[in-house]
Amino acid sequence: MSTLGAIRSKLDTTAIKDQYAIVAILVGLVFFMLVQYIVNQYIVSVFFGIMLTITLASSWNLFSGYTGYLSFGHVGFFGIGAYSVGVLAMNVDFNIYIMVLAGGALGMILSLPLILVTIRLSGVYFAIMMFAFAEIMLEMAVTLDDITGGTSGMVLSISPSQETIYLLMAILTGFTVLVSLLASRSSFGLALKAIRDDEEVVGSVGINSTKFKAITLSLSALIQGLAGGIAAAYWIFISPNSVFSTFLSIDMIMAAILGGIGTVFGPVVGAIVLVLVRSETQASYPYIFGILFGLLLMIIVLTIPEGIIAYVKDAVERFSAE
Amino acid sequence: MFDWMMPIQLDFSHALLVQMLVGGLVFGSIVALIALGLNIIFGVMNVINIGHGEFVMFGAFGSLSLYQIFGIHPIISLFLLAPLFFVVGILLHYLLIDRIIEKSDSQEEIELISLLVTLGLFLFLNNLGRAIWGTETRSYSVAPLDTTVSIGGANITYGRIFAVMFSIAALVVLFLFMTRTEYGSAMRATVQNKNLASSRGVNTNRIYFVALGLSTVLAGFAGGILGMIFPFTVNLGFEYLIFAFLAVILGGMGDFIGSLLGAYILGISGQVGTFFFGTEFQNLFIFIMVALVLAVKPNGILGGSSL
Repeated sequence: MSTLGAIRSKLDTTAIKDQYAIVAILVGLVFFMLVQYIVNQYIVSVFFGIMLTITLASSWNLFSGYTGYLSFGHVGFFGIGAYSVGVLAMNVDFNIYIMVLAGGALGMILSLPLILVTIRLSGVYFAIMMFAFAEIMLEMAVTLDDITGGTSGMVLSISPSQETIYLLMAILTGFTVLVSLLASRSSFGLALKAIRDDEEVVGSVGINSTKFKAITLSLSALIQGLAGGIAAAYWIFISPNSVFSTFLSIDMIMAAILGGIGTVFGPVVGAIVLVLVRSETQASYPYIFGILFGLLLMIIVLTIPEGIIAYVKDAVERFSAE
Repeated sequence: MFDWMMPIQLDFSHALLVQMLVGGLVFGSIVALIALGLNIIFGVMNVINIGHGEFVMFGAFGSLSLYQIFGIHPIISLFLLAPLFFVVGILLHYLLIDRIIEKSDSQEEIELISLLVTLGLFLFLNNLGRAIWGTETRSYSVAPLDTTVSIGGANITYGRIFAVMFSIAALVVLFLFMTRTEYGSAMRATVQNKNLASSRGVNTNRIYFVALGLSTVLAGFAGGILGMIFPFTVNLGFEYLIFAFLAVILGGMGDFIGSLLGAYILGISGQVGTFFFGTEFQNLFIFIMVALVLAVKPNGILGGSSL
């Protein structure tokens, strides 16, 4: 069976009952919200990293996983959101929490022209344009140094309460996974998956595929921008290489692939595994981590493209059958 | 009386014009080498290689290391490293690309899966480069290449002239290979229609190996030349890869002449963008230009036609 075909057939079997899924999301959300009051500062920052990666991977998956249009430039939306908040915080004196949300939304509004141009392109052209978009945005953040502070980055002059920012991130993460669940169980999500399977047929039955793609990409960009804004407020310091990093792009794609591309909980599981493994190894072996995960990415796409969840489920079924 | 017909007074001189032209040609030639490498493997087997830029990085650092350890001149290194890159390309096909093609059952699937798999290749090779050479900016200048010569009032280094000449020579050799040799015709036939080509006795599998070898050799050349004339870091390959990709989609994927055209258009328009909007907007200008062209012609300037 072909690889994409394999992914599709696994999708149907990995469906979990709606009520269980919603309960799981809510329990996870409460856990993540409360855990910061129990554990120490370092572990809180790891948990923040997990939530951030879940949000990024899920919103990437919402567009690329469901429609099959691979985007390598989502980090561009993330970075624009982060810098919008940074610049707003420098120049406007207003409630910081509202500013974080406004800055994130601004990220999407600034990206709308790009979305409108690229959304009509075919798969390869789209992937490359998004790829270039993120790289050009990184460069703009470096060269427009009177606004952004250039390569040395910018320190947000305000210091909001970290606990509240952490809670904002938790809410955004819960919201993103819920949206992902809703999208996968609604006719809207069905249309997206149909676009992945055969866009021409989708058009021929009277569904405006461009509209569906544009709405989903905008929603995905909005979530990325909000995540960027919240992350900027949490980190306080942002620089072009931290918020527009290609490796951030690779992180979200990798998390989605690890867990299972095009599924609701795949990116969540992938993000948790990725961040936990990395927080334990990257500090001591920075390049070895990249080398090994590069190898792992190649091996996973070529051998178990449907991701960890489906693989484990298969193994469990085989085990219980015996 | 014809005041309005007077040209706008710009700070414009011959020297500046020559400087811009040479700048555009250098950039365009190097991007053309990388873009053609990308396009050969896309045309022949629908594979998009995000790790391609890393061979550019290895080309630059390979020449640097040969110079630092053995004192070998970077121009000689270009030829010394070429066979090595060819072997690397063949290995790459054997270990990775062949498996992608085997796994997929349509052209679109090869495109999608190769994007994901070569993202891993990029991560792997980039971090390998970091582990070997570190992340500092490097540059080295070697005797005849850093001498300047005055052309039309502009000071141009021999290195830049060599970069343009060598790239054009490599492109001409590639063109002759594609049009005058049996292998070249077989490769173009494979680009046009794989099934027909193999039914006429073309060994498409062998064509795949040669295509990947050629593509990595071109990337290695580009890296060697870049290292001679510009300072570079391990991110060099990725930065140029973006422009090579833009050149490829500007010209049309799978169209060899289109990539050449695209690369030189990017080079010249980058200079024009710098002239009117300043260096900081150069690449934004290029990007917006490509986006506008694609908004009108979604398959690139020459999209649809083939060599």
